[in-house]
Amino acid sequence: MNLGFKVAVFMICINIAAGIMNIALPDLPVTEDYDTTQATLLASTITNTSINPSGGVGSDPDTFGDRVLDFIHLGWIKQVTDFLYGLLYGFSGLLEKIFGIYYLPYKIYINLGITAAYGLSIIMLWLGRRLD
Amino acid sequence: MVCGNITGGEVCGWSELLSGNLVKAVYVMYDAALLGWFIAILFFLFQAGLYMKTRNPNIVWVTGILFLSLFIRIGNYVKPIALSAMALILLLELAGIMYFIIFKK
Repeated sequence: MNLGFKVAVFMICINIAAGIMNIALPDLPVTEDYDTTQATLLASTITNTSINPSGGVGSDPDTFGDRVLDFIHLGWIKQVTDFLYGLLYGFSGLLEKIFGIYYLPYKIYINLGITAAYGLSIIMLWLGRRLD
Repeated sequence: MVCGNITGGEVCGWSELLSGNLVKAVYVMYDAALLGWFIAILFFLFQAGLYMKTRNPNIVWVTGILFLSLFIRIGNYVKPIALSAMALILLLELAGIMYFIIFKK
């Protein structure tokens, strides 16, 4: 059990703790831009059309396949992946929430470091089992 | 930061002291001296002392949650950056609790 493994595990602990606190805290307030975007989307009349492969745009037929796809409802996959992302990469999200900013600068580098901690901990666990 | 009514702002707590508000006078004096970090420093001292006395990170974290929610509710006495610093301290405490759970300290 070397020091690097402990540091990596502590980074993972920080992320999980930040994810838990991030889930517990309320969301940031909705800005005006978001309101206007929503109003624009709601005011627009987007019809259910599809592009015909043989050319032209026609109305989308309500087929059995469409009904199957609606039944599967891929939104839950997005919800579950967002939840897991918020739990496993919670540090940057918590920083954004407690400082009240919508996008943290250098967030990608923070998340890359977290990914390195996850990978290092897995590799060290694997090596430890092999070396023992 | 000048003591007295020279610049229009009174930061030494004389008006509170002469009104008989002792606790508020002390708060105004120390908060001016510590640039608005008085409550946050008291919070850190309380957390460190409680951990040194009890060696129990769970009770430290729970009392930290209670006091942080109180400071968020009373609002004007703590500046937002100090509240953010307190939240980061609570994050480190929760991470430490999880670390102790993993490594059976």
